[in-house]
Amino acid sequence: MVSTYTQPLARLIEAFQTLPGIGPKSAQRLAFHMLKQSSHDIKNFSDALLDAKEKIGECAQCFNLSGQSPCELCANPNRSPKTIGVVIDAQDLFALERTGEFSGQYHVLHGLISPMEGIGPEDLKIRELLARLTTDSEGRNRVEEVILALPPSIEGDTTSLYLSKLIKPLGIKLTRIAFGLPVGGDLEYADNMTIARALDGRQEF
Amino acid sequence: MRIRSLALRHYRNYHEQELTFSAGKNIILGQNGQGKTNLLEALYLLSHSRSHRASLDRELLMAGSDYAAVSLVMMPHGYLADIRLDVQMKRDTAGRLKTVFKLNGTPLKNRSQLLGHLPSVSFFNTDLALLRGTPSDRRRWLDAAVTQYDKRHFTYVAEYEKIRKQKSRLLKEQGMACTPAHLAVWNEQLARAGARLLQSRLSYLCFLYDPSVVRYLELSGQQEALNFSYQSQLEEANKAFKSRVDIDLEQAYMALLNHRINEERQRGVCLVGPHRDDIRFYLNGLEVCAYGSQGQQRTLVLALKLTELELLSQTSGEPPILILDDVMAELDPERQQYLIDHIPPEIQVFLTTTHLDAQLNPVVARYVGEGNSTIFKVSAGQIQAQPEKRCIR
Ligand SMILES: [Zn+2]
Repeated sequence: MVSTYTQPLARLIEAFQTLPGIGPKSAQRLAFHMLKQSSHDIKNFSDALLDAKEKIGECAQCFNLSGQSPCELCANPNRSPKTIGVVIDAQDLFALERTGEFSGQYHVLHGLISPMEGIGPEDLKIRELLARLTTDSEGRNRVEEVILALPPSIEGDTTSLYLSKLIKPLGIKLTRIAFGLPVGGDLEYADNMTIARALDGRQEF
Repeated sequence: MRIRSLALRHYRNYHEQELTFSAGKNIILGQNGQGKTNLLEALYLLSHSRSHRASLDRELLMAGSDYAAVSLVMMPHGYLADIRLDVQMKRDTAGRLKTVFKLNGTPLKNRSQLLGHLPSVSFFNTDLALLRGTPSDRRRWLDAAVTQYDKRHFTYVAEYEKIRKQKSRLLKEQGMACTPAHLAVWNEQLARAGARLLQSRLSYLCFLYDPSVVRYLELSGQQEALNFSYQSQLEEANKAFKSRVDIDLEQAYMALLNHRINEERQRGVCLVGPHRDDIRFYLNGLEVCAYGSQGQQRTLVLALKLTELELLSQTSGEPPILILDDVMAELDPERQQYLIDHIPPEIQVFLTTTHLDAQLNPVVARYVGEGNSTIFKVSAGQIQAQPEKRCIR
């Protein structure tokens, strides 16, 4: 279908189609939308893409994506270094950050243990996490609690288990976020695994 | 449960087909290769969320088609409203097949959510090979039967298999090179999921044991005593089943995994777990698989299926449907009669046969002739209903 377009348009549509969640129809719609924009707006858009790619790197402490290192979160003096929230990637970090409920620091693992995808513990930022738990920049250990904010999947469970074996002997409090029913959700429509997890993680009332 | 109607679109050899079923017996009549089993497979699919024989959903699509749909309307016992179940399989633009199950039009998040809505007991003629088949055939039978009885079992199997696949890959790719710390976490996960799976299988087998022994004794004219055992590498599991005691299987499983950790690393495969277990059947002390006659094996499968039917009727609070695929032809007239006599009247039956001739197939012909039945003639993917109450002579 794409081949009936003039070559530059076909190229643009194909480029959009490489994006996650974008099928041929959406790619087409986006391409036509872009063509309606002014050259100035398009220049702005493509500059933003290139600029982001060039300037954004990993924070040397928490491995979050940032234009600076240490990142804005690590450098923020109002954030407590006593608590570290461990997440899979920058996206999960932002999801947690959006809630405004967490005021500690983060550590981004960059994946979960999954032999099927060729990811072992050595491919994740685990060594770096342990280094943060044993010393800080002044050579002291200030971390009191590590919160594992990893998903309730087999890979999430396995990675949490692996981390617990390394962190517990350090005498640091280790917790994992609870899993349960969506707020406003009906028990009747939740699947069994979700309810089972919620029961597992029940709290005294 | 009573299925009112079924619609098939591009499913196997059915282009478009709509059927209205009888509350009693539904006799699907036709020569081999016309699509009788395909029709029963569609019912099985909406009961179990997977086919009894196809390992991939794409095998269920009509040749050359990029979608298929099955939908059925059923009336639960004592309910006022009908329930509608759907399965829709469709290729996306990238050519991947997406399967969606729906309950009353609402898409279900995963397959396991379909389970329990349409309880069924099925008897395909491939089940007759259960005892001569491989341990994996017997595990598949067991897991499917347990799932009908307790739908959580589906998740137990799925989780165990996911963990095992991950660990297998690790052993295969790294072998001796994988670190003990990494392997240890997979083993811990495997022991937890494996023990849960084992426990679930064992409690079903305990439940199945007495009634199936009684059933077999009756079927054999009080001549033969049935006995069966669960065969696991885990001695504790065998003991738990044999003496009906609770044993911490997770701990035992973990100990065995640790014991064989180096062997697993050397050979690069998962050597220990319920994926290697088996069930052994004995008649008067002799193993059926090795020493049983074909007649004994068939009688045993019949006894097990009838017991499944009895247990499921008791526990689900909803009479299951009974699917009988060409099994009558494989049983002698006495056992055919026994089967028919032991189908409770509230059970809706779906039975395929190549003949309804009173000479060739007297038991089935008489059964159909007793009324409350619809005959469906199947020929080359076309089905014609013949709402006759009498058998064809
Ligand atoms: Zn940082």
